[in-house]
Amino acid sequence: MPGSDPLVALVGPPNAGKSTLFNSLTGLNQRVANYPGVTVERRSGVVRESVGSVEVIDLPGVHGLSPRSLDQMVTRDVLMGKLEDGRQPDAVILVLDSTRLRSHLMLADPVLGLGIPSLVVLTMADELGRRDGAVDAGVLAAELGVEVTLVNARDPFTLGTVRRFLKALRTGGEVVRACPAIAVADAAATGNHPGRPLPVVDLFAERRKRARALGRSADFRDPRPSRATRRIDAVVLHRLWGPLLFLALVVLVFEAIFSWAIPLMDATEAAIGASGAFVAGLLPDNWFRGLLIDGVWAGVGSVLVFLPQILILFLFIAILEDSGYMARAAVIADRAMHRAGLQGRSFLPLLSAYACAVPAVMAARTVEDERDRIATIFVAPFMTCSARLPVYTLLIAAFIPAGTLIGPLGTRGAVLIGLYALGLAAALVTAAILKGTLLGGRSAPFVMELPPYRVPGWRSVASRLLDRTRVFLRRAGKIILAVTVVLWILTQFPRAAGGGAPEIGDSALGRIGQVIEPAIEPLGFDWRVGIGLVTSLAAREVIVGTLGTIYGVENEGESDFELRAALQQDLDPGSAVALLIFFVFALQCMSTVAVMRRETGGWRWPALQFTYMLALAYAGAWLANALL
Amino acid sequence: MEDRRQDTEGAESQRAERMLADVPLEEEVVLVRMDVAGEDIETLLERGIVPGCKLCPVRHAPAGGPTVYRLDGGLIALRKDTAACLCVRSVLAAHRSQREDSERSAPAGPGTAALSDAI
Repeated sequence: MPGSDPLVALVGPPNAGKSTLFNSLTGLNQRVANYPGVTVERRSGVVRESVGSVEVIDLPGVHGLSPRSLDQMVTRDVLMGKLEDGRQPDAVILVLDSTRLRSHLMLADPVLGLGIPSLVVLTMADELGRRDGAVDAGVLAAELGVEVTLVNARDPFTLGTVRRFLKALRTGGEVVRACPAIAVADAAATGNHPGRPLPVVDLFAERRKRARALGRSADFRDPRPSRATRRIDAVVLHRLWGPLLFLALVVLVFEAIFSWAIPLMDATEAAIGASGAFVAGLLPDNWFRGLLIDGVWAGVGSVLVFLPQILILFLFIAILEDSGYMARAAVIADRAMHRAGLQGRSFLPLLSAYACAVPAVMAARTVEDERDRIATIFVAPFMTCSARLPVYTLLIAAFIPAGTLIGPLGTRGAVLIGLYALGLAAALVTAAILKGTLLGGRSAPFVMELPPYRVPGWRSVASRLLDRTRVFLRRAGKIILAVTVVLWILTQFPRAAGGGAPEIGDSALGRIGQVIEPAIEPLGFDWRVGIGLVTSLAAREVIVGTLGTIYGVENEGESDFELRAALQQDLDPGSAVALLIFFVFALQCMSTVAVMRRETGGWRWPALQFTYMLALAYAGAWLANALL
Repeated sequence: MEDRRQDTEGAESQRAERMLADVPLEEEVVLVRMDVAGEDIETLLERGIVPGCKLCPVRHAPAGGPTVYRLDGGLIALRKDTAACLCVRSVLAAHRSQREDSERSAPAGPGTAALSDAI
């Protein structure tokens, strides 16, 4: 049972094979949560041995323990027993890439110096051997004072020592603590030492010197450069083929999200509709059935429909990351991103934002420079997330006549691309403004490690997709559920004369809409759209359901057509475009605001972001309505 | 005579010092000094870019993007402006400098210690 089981922390630099080892040890028996107060994910899993269970936590990849990034701060706090309910891990597994041992051994001193029982796992043994590298794990163990094992993290047969180590923790067998000499030598770096710390360059020079001495003692031989990686890089980073391949992959990801996902989304929608109808048939016709089916089922269902899109995006991201391509993509994108004041690492969060800004804001923690990270978070909601799609498709289908433009590209497709481009342009311009003003100053150096290319492991890809599904369902379960329930209640009161539900215009929701109508009249919107805008503050896609409810459309199957017709009567082309523009710019997503507050440590940035995006949305919509 | 030879060699190795951004592809160099400000330096140090490490530019990213360097069996990409702050010496010049140091038997400073350790 987690909690009473021994706790083991996996620590290591990024791309050292930590997560692969974690997946091999725990299988799919893992959980993802956030550490309290920060959005750094806490991945934990249970390893079941014959003698009992051990809880393993996979800490974020770090290069050191100084509190320079959220990841390093969390890792340090966990190892020092400040997180995990004040519990210090019972043991540490330090995971280092055996092919990069010279650099990676620099992490040994700060981690082993904490004096926690430790095991050093050298991964990529297969790669080291294939490329004629070598290391004597036995000698290294003697030098470090802890056990060292050479493994191939994907191959369970090489993990015998790791499993024995975990068993020993469970049975109270002997596990070796780090050598006290190391603890003294490096205590200054972890802040445990009352003495004067070394200047930082000297400290690292000392650490490197020691790492090299360790490597020399252990007969470490650098592997020769990977021939396959060199050949693939010759294409991937080629001055012509590189950018072309990059663009082709971006187009492929988009095509997958917006074409391949459609049948899956239709199937999800049908399943939600059918299950709702089935449950409705079992319940008596009363207020509870209304709340459950019209409120909860329809509301949560309207969000669940996006799950296929999000999973397809994360499938691509997982494959591209695990194969080693994503780091190259960041290098290729760096130049363009740098011009807008961002950096190559911002590419992945901004790509993720096309599915959903919430994981994008979380992914931005890989951007080490604080100013670049805030700028990335700030502009991520401008990227067209999948929640905007239902609104775009509804309005485009209602107001843009179908027609051919160039080749296979029709007028409606062109408008959709235009909306995407407008969001991207707003993001880049905003980033440039921010970096010229509030987030001005020199950025930290861009340093990107390029891992060797590898075939992605299905286990790693599957566990990531499971993680994303859980995170997404939790979101749909909490926020959307709450909003739809409140919305439904507001449509039910005050009760009509006969005791039934009121007309929508007379309901509490209708009255709210009428109060805000004067503010949105200049944009060409009436109170119905106003209510949609208010409810969509919780999540953009809610407006479709809200408008459906307001226009009295209840039948899910026919809602699209009828809603379209109703909108055509209520909005003119100018106000329809204004509504589209409003959705391009406005930050209508409470989840994003909440995650942003956690990630930036206060309300300042989310408040500024919300106001800025709302002002831009209002001005853009007003202009569109006035001009058209 | 001996002193003059040593002076010439010292001047040569001084001249051999240049910025990483100016090193042509496939030439291996040793990092001797980092002119990087404040906290930024730690970003580099933590990844093994420490005085004494060997770097070899292997590829330029398209359209003036970062350059990819070989470092300790791995690959790392740096922008030109960062590489322009890293002072390096060719491996050959670093060897010569080490020999010179050992001939003089002068006490080694921390930078030199790291350098001699690397070669």
